[in-house]
Amino acid sequence: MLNTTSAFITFHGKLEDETGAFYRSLASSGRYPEAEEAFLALARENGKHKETVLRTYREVITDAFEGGFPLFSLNEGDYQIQTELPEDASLSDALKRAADIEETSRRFCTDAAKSTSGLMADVPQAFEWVARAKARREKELESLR
Amino acid sequence: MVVLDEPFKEVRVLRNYINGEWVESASKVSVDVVNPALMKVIGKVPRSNAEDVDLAVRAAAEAFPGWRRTTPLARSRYLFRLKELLEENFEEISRVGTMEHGKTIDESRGETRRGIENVEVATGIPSLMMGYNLEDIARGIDEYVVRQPLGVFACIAPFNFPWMVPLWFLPYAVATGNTYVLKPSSETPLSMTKLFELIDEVGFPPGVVNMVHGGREVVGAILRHPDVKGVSFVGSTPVGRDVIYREAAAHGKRVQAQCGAKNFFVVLPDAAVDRTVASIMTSFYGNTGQRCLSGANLLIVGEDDFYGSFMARVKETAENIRIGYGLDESVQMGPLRSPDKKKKVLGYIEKGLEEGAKLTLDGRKFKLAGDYPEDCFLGPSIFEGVSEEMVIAREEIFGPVMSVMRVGGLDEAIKMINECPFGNSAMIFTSNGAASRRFQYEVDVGNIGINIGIVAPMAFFPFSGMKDSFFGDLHGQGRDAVDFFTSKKVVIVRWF
Repeated sequence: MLNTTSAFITFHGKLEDETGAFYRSLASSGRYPEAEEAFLALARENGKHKETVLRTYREVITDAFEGGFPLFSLNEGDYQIQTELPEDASLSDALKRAADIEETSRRFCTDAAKSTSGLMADVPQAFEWVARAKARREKELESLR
Repeated sequence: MVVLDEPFKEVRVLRNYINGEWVESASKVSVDVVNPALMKVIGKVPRSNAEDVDLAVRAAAEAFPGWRRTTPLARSRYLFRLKELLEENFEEISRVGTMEHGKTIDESRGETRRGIENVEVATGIPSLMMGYNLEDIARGIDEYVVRQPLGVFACIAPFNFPWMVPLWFLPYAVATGNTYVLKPSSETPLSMTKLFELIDEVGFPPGVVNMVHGGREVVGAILRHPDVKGVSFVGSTPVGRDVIYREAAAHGKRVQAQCGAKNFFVVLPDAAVDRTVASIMTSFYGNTGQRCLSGANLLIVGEDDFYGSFMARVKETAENIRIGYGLDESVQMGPLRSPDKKKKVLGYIEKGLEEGAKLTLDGRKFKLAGDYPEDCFLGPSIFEGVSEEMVIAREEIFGPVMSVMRVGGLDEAIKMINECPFGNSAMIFTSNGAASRRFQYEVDVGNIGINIGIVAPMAFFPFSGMKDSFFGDLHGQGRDAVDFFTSKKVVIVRWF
């Protein structure tokens, strides 16, 4: 159960780390040379998204001392991502898996923004910004197909 | 559920920091520092004596002439470096705070950030410390004001915000050219020890900033020492008023004593219910009710239907608050600081029952998230049917207990708040601007929240307080702090 802002931030960081590792492994596998650069760029952006949300949280956690009481809890089971791919996965398979991951991350960020909206203004804004970036990434993945 | 790592596992043996060095206390006596969630000893803090205080004050007094001649810009650069180190150590500082106090990690991080913000504001001292002038106050004569530091200042810090409170004062004192002696709470001295490790790393000149651990003897020695020019204190009203304020004043010192509270949280029927309930949770139960800005009395205006549905939401949310060790990220309320403090709160719950209030949520029955000793834990409590004259409505409980009273309207709420001897904070939740303005205008308290549950002024504003909640003239933080730590010297100039 994710019921504090701290828990949201940690879970988000984990999602970004796992997603970044997923893209880096695709890039280094040698199986998808045509998408290698794009995968590496996506992985770098995962690090940026993690840092943006974490930095925002740390900068505004003082606003109202209300970080422990979001409007509603989230269930982390609803936002699990699958980063394993079979050895012989095609580019299309890999892109499909990536799109699923991005969709889950976007959904998490959107829900986290809603849940924290009653508390520190900048944290939901950061989650919304990252959610919009995930939507853009979904389109970018589509264009690689 | 993620339980964050503790930044240290060993029992830390603390020392004083005097004249730029870590030194043993002359007393050779120490007391245990206990993690209240685990009831485990995590430190040993010296019970210093008057000799230690004298050593620290003399070091500070000797450092003062050189430090006041260090330019404001150079002094602010020490604080810029400190700010960098605080950012680098942000997470460790916060986790130490949770270990020594018990508050949740979100709360500790908030406290850490607020402390850093005060350092940030104090770095602006070259601007903040400027005086003012006027040409031609008489023909050919000019007049100006300069601000000057006074010498050695001291801080006596509380247990409930062991990191943030000293930083309401210390950065401003040092930035304005004074030197400093800090006495942390002996219950929660570890985060200040971390601060002084970083101060040591910054490399302030020896004697500029000093720390003496201890209890009453240290407080008495600070108050009586002839070289201490002023004292900042945060703690209970009896100590602040009857000991700190009187003793410091009797010895010719400046004093600011920020004290106890009994804060009123007023809800009008047009309040945004979801957000009001979330704010009530943090206001009454955040920091386990151990803060001088905590909501204590909930005053509800409205008909039976509104009252019933609103209180049902409050109760449902409160009974679902997750209680446990603050390093567990799923925990929303930690323990009280010590078994004694829990006992005191339990006493108030008994008193409320004796006086006939209805305990609609009994915090004595709680479920812990995790396998921890229950010595310091207590769940959130709600008393309904409370009347103004009951002890639980008048005295500061300093724990997770809410006293609910129904009032006929805003007039009655304002009257009740103004009749209370305390004047720290009051909150109103409404969508009515006129009611809010009237509340702000007429209520005699220092910090007012309009749709804000914890009215914690930012570092660039004074942390106010009135009546029995504050003794002194100038508050902590911001421009008030600059005034407190400086004397204004007037110069009138005529050249022939």
